[in-house]
Amino acid sequence: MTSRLAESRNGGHWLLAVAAVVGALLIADSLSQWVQASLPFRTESREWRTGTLGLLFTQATPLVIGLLLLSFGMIRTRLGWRLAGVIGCGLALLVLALAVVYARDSGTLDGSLGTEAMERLQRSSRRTLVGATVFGFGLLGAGFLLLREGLRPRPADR
Amino acid sequence: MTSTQSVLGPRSPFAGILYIGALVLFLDQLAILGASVYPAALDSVQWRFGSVGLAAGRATPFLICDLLFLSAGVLAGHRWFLRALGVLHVFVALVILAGVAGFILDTLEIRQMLPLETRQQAMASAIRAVVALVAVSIFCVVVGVRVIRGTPPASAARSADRRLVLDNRSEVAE
Repeated sequence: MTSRLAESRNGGHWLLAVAAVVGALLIADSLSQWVQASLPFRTESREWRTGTLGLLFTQATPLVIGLLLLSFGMIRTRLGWRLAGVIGCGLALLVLALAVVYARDSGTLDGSLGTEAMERLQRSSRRTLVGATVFGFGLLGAGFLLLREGLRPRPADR
Repeated sequence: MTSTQSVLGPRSPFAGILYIGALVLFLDQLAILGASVYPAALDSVQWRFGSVGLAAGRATPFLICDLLFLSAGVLAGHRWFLRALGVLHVFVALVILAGVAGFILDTLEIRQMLPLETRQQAMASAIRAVVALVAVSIFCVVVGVRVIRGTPPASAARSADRRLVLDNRSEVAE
């Protein structure tokens, strides 16, 4: 009975490790595609910033799934909970800051575009902003939950 | 080191993280779909055809999001949430089936308007969308029924527990 329980626990840990690897691969794949599409870097150009950040925020779905899987693998230890929480909060602040940059840049869209193209562009930028804000606040919430659990005293610590 | 049970157990905060992840995915996908079909023109057959096709194309991320919601509910042991989700699944399945019926009629109407060279491609896309939507509606019915059956109302669960206790007592008395 005990050996079966230990076996299932080992199996569970093995599964969590696999989930973490799959999560890391998903994130690496998304980010590498994004970097490839945004080359060459021209951070001083407003058009480049709008296009690149818009592209990054459309990758929210694989990034969320990747981060969820990765955090499954990280929370096997107390330190892992804390680390995942700090990374989550840090990423949230980064995403929210980038969302502010995107909002500022897309607010001054090129007036030379036709009305229909302009409307389409504004609609697309609004959608991207909604996605980015939800992603940022979601990361912040998840980071706080992980951090709270990591800092909570356990019976063994008392 | 914490055990896997405590990481994924009923009191684990991971359920909350899964809820947040599912909500982020759902709102993001909803925003993508909303921006693609806005402004709504329900009386236009082209708009209806395009919107249903776009919604069918978003089936996979919505299914992933649904699985995350289900996993979070099971992990947290939120019976009421799972039950509501089960009912919502059955409702969504009915809406999708009604939508598929309308979509087939719209496809037949649009078929006449399309030039011959693009007709075959449009029909292939329409068939793909119908297959995806029917598969999603079957998934919704199966999940909805199983979840509703698996999570009886709290009063029913309490009376079942009481019966179990009484049965055990009578067995002990014997």
